[in-house]
Amino acid sequence: MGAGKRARGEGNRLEPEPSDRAPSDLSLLARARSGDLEAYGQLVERHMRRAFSIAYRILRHREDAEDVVQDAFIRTLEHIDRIELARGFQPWLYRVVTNRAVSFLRARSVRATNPLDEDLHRARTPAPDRVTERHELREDLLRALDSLPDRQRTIVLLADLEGFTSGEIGEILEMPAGTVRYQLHLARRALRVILAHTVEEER
Amino acid sequence: MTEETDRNEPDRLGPMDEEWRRTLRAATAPPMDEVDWASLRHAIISEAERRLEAPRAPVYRTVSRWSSRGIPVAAAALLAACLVLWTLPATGSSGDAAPPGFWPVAEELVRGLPDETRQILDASTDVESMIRAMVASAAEEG
Repeated sequence: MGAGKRARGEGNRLEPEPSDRAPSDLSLLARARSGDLEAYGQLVERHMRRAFSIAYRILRHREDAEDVVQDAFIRTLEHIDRIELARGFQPWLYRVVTNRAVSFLRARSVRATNPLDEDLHRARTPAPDRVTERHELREDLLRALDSLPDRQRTIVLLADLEGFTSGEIGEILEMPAGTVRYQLHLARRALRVILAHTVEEER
Repeated sequence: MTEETDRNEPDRLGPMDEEWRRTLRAATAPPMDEVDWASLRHAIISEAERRLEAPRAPVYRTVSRWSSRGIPVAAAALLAACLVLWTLPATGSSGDAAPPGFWPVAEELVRGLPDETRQILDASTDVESMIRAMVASAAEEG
């Protein structure tokens, strides 16, 4: 592995601007716009892990998530002149990642027969002595999450799993923060209902 | 962005929700250890280089830039084709002078554009001046 590991999921926000020594996203973006691929490489290095995390939460498949990240960075570079400097690089990139991942998921769901991905079963199936209620809850949760509309599922993933604020999600998905909060409220309520039904059925 | 946007969060998580959030977060945790980050970065940059160095890249960038200014993609593509004709050595262009047969083609292209596109381009009267300005602008912007 060429890069160090980084804690994820807990209290994550859009990354703060780097320290005084490192160039800001804005300056790297300006250089990349003028054709400086080295500068773009620094932006890639800085944000590819978070981009992968978002893509993986949506797709739950490592190779697919890597493909989406690669595609998103290339598309972002191709449209780099359109990025509003005032809004910054990250919301634009994460919007492309999110949209590409959701599109990828739709295409895959048309092809696939099993909605639950193989990665999770291969890498995260617990040991036999730990196949308990928690395992069942996990499966129930994934199914409940998958049953949400794309937009609500994405908001839950970004808010509850990736730790973005509603304002940040609004910038990524291009909607008002209030709409994000309302959609998140609807999504959580739907999850509660689905999970309540599931628990009832299992009793 | 600030955290202030969440101050009025109307749907705080309860204890039950916290449990499912923890479970879901663990169930979908990205396998960061399994990714070869150096290879991924290399793949991205290599593809970016390939795209930028491709012969169509200058035209593509020009079309992209103009279309982002509100010019329809088809019109931007036609105008980019004008630029290629202008700048391609094989057409006999000498830099300042357009290649033979350029102006009739360019005039026809521009006159075929929708009115609103022509307004964006300010091409209502003098097509040659407009094309020359665009050539200069494109050269300046790279």
